[in-house]
Amino acid sequence: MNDTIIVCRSITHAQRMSAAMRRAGINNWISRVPAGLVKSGCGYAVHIRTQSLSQGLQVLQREHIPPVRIFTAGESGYREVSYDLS
Amino acid sequence: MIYLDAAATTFQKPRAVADAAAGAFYRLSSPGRGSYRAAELAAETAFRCRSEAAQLFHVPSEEQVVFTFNATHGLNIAIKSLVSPGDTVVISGYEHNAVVRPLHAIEGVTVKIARGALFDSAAVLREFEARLTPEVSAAVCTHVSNVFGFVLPIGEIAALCRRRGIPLIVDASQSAGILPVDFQEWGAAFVAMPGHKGLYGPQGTGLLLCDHDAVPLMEGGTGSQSRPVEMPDYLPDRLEAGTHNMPGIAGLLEGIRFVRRTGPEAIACHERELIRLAAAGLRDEPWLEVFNGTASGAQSGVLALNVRGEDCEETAAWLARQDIAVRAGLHCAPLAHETAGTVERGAVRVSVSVFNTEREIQYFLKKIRELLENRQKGRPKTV
Repeated sequence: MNDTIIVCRSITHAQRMSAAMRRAGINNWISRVPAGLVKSGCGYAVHIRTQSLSQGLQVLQREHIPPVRIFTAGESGYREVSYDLS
Repeated sequence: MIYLDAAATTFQKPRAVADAAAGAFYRLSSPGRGSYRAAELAAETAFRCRSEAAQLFHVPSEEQVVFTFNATHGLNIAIKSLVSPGDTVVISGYEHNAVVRPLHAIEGVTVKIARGALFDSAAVLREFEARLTPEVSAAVCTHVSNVFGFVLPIGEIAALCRRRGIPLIVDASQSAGILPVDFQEWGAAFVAMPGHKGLYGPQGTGLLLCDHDAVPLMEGGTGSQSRPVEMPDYLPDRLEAGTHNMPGIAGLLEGIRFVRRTGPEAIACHERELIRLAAAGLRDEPWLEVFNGTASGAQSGVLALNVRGEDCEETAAWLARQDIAVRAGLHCAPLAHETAGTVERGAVRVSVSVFNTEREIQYFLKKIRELLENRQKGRPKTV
C-alpha cells in the first residue's frame, strides 16, 4: 500500500497540512481516519506516500502544523510511526 | 431604489455572491461530516473562505478564522471569553449594543468608557491612555462608528493595549473589506466582523479572528473528536458547533474574493469620495446639522445628519417615500449618540457601498433640498 496516514485534529487542520505539502510539491489527499485508529472518534487525515514522509515532516515543522499521530499502512495493517518535530 | 444603508447591510452584492449561495443548495452538504463528494466540496469551500479571509486580514493560520452568524455573535464569544463577573473593561464611547449589552449581561462588570469628541482621534487615544490601568482585564473598541463613520485610531489603541498587556477585542463591523484590518500587526485577542457588510457576503455570515483561548457560546457536534463530551480544545471546531451555513459561506467566499480583486483601498476611496460629495452638498444648508469629519481619514463611508426641528424618523420616512433607503434613530448604538450629544433626537444615517454612484448622491442631495423647501413651506410636520 506504501501509504502513510497523518492523523489531524480537524478537517481544517488536515486542509492546512494538505495545502502546505502541496505547496512543497508533495502529493497528498485527505480522507476520514479509519475508525480503529482514533479512540476519540471521527477525524481527518492526510495521506502521503511513505517515501515522502521525511520531507513532509520537514514541511510541517517549518509551517508549525504538528500532526496528531502518524501511521504507515502495510500488508499487516497500520503501524504507528514515532516522530520528532522539535 | 437608491440604497444608502450599507452600514446595516450591503444590499447590492456582486452577482457571483448570489450565484455561489444558490449553487450551494445543489452542490454542498456539510463540511467535516463525510468523505463523499458533496461533503468534500463543502469542506473545500469553507477552507477557501477561511484562507481568503486569512490573507485579507493577515491571520497566520486558517484555523484562527472562525465562522459566526454575524459580528454580534463573534463579539459575544470574544467578550464572554475574556470578561468574567466583577472584571473591569474599557470600551470606546462609540460602541454598538453588540458590545454594550453582552458586557452588561455579565454580573458586576465595571465598564470604563473612553469617550472623546467626534472625529477627534487624539482625544479618544488620550481617553484610552487614561483608562487602561492595571486592573483592566480587557478593552473593546470599534474600528469605525456605525453611526458617524468616525474612524477610531485603532492601530494606536492596539499598540497601547499591547504595551500594557491588556487583551483587545476589535469590532471591525464597519471597516472589514474597506479599511486595513491587520490582525497580526494589531496583536488583538479577537477581531469580529460581519460577512454581509463590507465583505459583500450574504446575511447570516460573520467571522471571528482569534488569537486567544476562547469559550464556546454553544456546545454541540463538530464532526471531529466525537466521543468526548467536552468541546474540542482547538480552533475552529471549538467555536463552530452544529451545521455550517454553507450557502452563506459559499457567498461570503465570493464576496471576499470580490473585495480582494477590487482592493479595499479603492473601495474606501470610492466611498469616501461619495461621502465627501454628500457632505459638501449639505454643509451650507442652515436647516441641516451634518456630522462631518474634516481631518483626513477621520470618516469612512457613513454620514449622519438631522433636519433641524424635525424628527429623524420623519426625515427617513419622507426619503423612503422618494425611494431612498437610509436609517434613522439610534442605530443600536445609544452610547455613540450619547458621546456625540444626539441621544435624545437620534440622527439620519446615510451609508454607502462600492455599488453607489455619484449620480445617486446627487439625486439624494436634490431630494434633501426638496425636503427643506417643503419644510420651509410648512411641510412636512415639524415636531
